[in-house]
Amino acid sequence: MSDIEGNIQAKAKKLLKDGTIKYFIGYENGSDPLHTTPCFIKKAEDVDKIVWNPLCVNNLAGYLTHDKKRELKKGEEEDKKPIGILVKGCDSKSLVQLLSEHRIEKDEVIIFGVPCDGVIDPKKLEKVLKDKNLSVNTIDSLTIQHDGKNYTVKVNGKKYSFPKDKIEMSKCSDCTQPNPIISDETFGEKVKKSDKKDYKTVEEIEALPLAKRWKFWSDQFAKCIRCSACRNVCPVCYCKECVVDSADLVITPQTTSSEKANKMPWLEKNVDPAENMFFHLTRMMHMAGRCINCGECERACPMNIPLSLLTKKLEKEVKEMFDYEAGIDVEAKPLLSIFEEDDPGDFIK
Amino acid sequence: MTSSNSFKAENFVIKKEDVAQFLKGLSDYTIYAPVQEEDTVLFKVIQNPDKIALHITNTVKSPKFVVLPQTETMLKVTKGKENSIKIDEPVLDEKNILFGIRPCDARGIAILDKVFSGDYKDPYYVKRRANTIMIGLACTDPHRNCFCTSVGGAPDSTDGLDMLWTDIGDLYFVTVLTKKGMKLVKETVIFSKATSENTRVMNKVHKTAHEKITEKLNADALPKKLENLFEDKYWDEVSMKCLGCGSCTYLCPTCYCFDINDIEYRDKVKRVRTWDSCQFSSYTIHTSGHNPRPNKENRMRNRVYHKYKYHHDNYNELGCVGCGRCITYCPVDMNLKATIKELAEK
Repeated sequence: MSDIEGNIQAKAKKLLKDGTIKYFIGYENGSDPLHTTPCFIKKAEDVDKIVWNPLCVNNLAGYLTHDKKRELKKGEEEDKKPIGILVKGCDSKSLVQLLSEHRIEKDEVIIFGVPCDGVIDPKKLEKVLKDKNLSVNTIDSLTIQHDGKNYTVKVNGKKYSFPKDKIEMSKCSDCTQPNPIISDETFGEKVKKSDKKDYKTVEEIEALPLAKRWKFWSDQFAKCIRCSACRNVCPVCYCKECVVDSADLVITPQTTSSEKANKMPWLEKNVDPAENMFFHLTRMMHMAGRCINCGECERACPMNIPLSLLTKKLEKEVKEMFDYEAGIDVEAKPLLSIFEEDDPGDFIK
Repeated sequence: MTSSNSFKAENFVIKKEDVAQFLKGLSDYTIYAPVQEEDTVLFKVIQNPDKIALHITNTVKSPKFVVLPQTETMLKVTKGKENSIKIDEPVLDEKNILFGIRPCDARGIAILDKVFSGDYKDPYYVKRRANTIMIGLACTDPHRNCFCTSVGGAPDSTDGLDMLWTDIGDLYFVTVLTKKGMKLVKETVIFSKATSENTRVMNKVHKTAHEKITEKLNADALPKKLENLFEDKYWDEVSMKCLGCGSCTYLCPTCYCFDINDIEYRDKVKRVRTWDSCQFSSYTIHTSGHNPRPNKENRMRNRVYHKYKYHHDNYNELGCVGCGRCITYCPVDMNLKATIKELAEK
């Protein structure tokens, strides 16, 4: 167990014991040695479950909004104590975004920040191990450590070395925010990462002629099964009513029958390339100036649609057009709610 | 529904190099088989048998979509002359072969058979299913998340299949299970009778696969256990990390919930049936605004109850085939195997 992991456990234990937090959101070991999984620790004696290692890939910030959407049971009283949460540098940007949009308030959360030197993409890890004839079926133990430009992966007692780009989440290669922007306590030393974002993958798509770009995305969206994993895993997709759900109207006893009948079905449930494209592009529009490119949508997609290409494109556009970056300032106003006279208008024809 | 009790299974072998020729001879059929494109393996219509990827344990999406498409037009209404309308129904006479379907997925379809062609016969499903031949491929390398043997299945289960093929080296051992399957074998001269040596190897392959699935969950205890666990606090705890997306249900070989919508176009209306998921909040919302399953703990509980209790109450078998997809592809690593274990111990 690393010092960082131990210190996180100790602090969580203290806050649970003295009743400061209602629960702590962190990571524990997953269903197999290649995965960790989000954990919700409610009792001080359970803090031993908490782990911190390069397999801690999930962005946990979105869970903070789950409680707000939950309907209380009969007789259940709302626990108004803050939630303890572990955030990496990138996750802290989501958290800042949620704070700036007042989805959560600062006194509702106690932030455990942890500087991050990169996290592993479990799909990539499984692939490189397979190339070494190590099937996930035969792996009983796996530990993983940063080692300069490589990762040292110890599988069933034997050491292997893999270059970072072969197994790391692609978002980590040009990470400019490895250290949490906001935290109540930071665990571990500050990390130095990239100074500049790398938009090579986006530029490759941008450079394609229109017909080829259309074909590329049409083929990608044709794979979509509309399971909504991309939306539901997204920390800033927190709306109770979503434009892409044709039936998901927030109805109250005051909603009239004509309101229900005339609810516009922006998107139908049938899965075809056109509807799928509408689903994804609509989602992207709502992400502009809000997405911090945590890569969770791409990771969650069972059909391997490269959604990060779109979120990176958003990030690039927003930066180039408005010199704006989401998730870095709690006081910042949301991009799409502000207007400056010199905002570019070239796209309005 | 395809298995015929009067049929006596017969055993053949086919050389691996002859498989392409066998498939090419089936030109009357649309053949679906696992195909790898980049990192994703899916059942797709194949034109070129060389593209078939039989080496993987299982596809991302179960092949249930061949008999229960995610989007199905039930009828189409167009404006005719003056005030008349024209109603078109789909023609469902396409003959399909599911080649290389794993025994778990075939059992999934056998489970759907009881739902869609039991007391109520769903005409779309019944027709598609009658036109579908399933050629199974016995599992030799089960994934760590597989648990078929805990839910009544096996890596060499024949439920729902017309043929079961087993990789025995240079040959596939072919067990023909139905008349539909025998028809395909009889159409070509590629198959030869299996020898007792072939049978011996086949039995060994099956035995090895069984031995690879070491974990046995006590899933059979669940239908009874769940009778008293509806209000258990367990659901609140276990569902906390659930995102409420539908990936588990959409990849699942036995989930069959659907929704029907009329979609208006400028010149026509289509009545479309689509998959739906009990994990979506919109699944149970009433027109009054009341939602009987408002939270993710209610929805996750329903998924487990349906598969391990309600389905069992109705059909006397579990509604899960243990393919493990819901674990493998869950974005937050929800672990149904752990859930089964924890519930069985309660």
